[in-house]
Amino acid sequence: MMDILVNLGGGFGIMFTPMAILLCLLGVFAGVTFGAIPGISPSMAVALLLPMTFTLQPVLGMVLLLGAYKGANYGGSVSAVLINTPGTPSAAVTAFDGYPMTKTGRVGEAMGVSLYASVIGGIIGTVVLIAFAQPLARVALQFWPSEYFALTILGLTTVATMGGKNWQKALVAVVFGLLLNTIGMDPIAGTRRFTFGDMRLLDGLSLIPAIIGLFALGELFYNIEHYAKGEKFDKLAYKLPKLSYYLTVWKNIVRSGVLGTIIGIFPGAGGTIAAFISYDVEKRFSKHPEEFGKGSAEGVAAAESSNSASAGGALVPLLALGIPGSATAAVLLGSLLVHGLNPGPEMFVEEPELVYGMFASMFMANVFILVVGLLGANLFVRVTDLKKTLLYPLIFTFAIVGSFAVTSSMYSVVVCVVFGVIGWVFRRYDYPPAPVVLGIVLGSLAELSFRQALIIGGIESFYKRPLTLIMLAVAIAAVAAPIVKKRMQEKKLQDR
Amino acid sequence: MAQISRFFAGQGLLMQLLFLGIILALGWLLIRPFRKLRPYTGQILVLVAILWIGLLFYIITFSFPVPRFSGVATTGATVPRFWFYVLIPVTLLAFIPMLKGEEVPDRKRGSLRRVGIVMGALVLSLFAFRYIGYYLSSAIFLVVIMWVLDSRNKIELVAVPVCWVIFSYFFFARLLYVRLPVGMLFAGLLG
Repeated sequence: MMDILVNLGGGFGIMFTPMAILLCLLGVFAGVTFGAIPGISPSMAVALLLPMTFTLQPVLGMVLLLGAYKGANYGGSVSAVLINTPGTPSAAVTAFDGYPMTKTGRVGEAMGVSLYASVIGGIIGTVVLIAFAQPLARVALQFWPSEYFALTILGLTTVATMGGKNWQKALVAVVFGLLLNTIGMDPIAGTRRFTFGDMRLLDGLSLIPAIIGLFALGELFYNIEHYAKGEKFDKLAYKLPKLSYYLTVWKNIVRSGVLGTIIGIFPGAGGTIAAFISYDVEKRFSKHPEEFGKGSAEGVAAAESSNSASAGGALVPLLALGIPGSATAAVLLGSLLVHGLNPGPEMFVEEPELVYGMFASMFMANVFILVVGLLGANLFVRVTDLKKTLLYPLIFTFAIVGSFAVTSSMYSVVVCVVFGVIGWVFRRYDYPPAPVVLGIVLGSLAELSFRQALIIGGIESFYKRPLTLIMLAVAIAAVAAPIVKKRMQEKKLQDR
Repeated sequence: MAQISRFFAGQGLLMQLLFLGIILALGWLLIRPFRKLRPYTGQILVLVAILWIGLLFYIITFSFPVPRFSGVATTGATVPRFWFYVLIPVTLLAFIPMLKGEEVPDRKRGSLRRVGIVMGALVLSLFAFRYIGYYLSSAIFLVVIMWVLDSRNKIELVAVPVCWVIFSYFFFARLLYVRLPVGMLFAGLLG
């Protein structure tokens, strides 16, 4: 422990130089800006800054990239809260409650909670990363495909609370998403599935364009359908709440931060799954679960905290074992390799300055996110002052160019528009779009791990491994608990 | 089954859309005689569409190649079939409240004409990327949408597309290196 503190002191020594501070601030600012633009994922934001690091010292290069990574994770929530257009896939969960809060004039609360939750969640993720990186990475590697499958099933159970009173429709929507996810190349045998002769479908559906379409275009089509001439947004009184307000959601932030970090550690899981699961957990813990999906600050806190914390978690396998657990971690790995560094257990011994410099920069990045968020929020929120006749067309164009940017092809744009139409139909007939995203996000991992588990250990792997059994039992309990609880309440009422 | 499967698998996306349209039309005709179900026409048709897609996927799985080597517990057909089996009861579960009249009826329609124009303009604009490029196409699209939303301010109608084109060029093309389509016309003009 003492070693860690001494090394961390050295890391902060590197960070408190003008160049490191400037690069960290630049990274955060660029990350927040890119992250707020639909279609620019954190991995893309980091990749865009990568060439700038070639001439820098390795530690300074990583300071810039980590600032961008953390900034982009927060930036995605800005457009999700303000215009229901998640900048990043994980911000889709923030939009569930953030956008309803904006629509009901609570934009300051939504922006404030998302900012503070992001910062505190990020700090939790960093602390866990520093303290437990090496042992946790070893534990994560012990996971078998059956445990990954159980994890995805656990993620899928979040649909039970996502639909609210439309839970039956939410179930249909999640299975629809899971079915859509089977489009493309079969991950084990390479069979072409449901491509209908279109080679572009071999890679499956692009997630980011699908999310932009479902949320942004779907909402736009609906608003345009019900648009009345001269209609304007209600003037939003933007004011961040007092610090005491955040104390009402501190438990949600801490719980989701810890959960987000743990989920983030598992290679392939990522911030989106972390946000979905944390959102579900917080809804179950909440005294006002009925407010979730309609503008609950607890929902925003859960989504943002876990998403931000998962960034720290994703670095655990990267730094401790040299295994990139996410697309962004892969870009960061690339940057380290360019400088001739090989992440792994030896790096902690051979390059303590670099490793702890990175840890220190993550703390500093969180502080800068707070600064950029507080100063910029007043500016970001002005977007809702635009007239609808200007804002709607601009969201369209942002959605289109954002989708195009994902693969630099018209295919992504077509996916975005098709999902826009699906989102509009879902909105019209009260089918929640979020479970479709959940199905698409979890579908690949569910299929891959399910089939790998069967190949490696047969059907026994699902009931002979204790951890798998525990996780599956928790998943079943997660679905059954609300139903049993409701039945018991109904019975009580009947008895009276 | 294999023949039906190959038939559906061999059709392109446009034909699949046509099949979906026919299924929806049949669904609508089936719902019409039942007065109790009429208020839920849209919601039921969504279920019909999703169920059809599931069934289509299920049928097509019978045309997938069977692995020659033994010992493989699953094939590419396993998971899509499984999700279809799950979809059936789940769809029924969503249908029951409508059948009982407990579901909230379909919402009142807004201006479908306006949505149709916007969607049409969007599709045309995407189609035009190839010929006149992203910049001109998106500028025209912006003007059309603003016009559809009853914006008649000439300065706005000119300034917004111009500013957007300048912004998207410098931000996306120059800063982020997103290669937005220039279009055959401008590619030819610029050599």
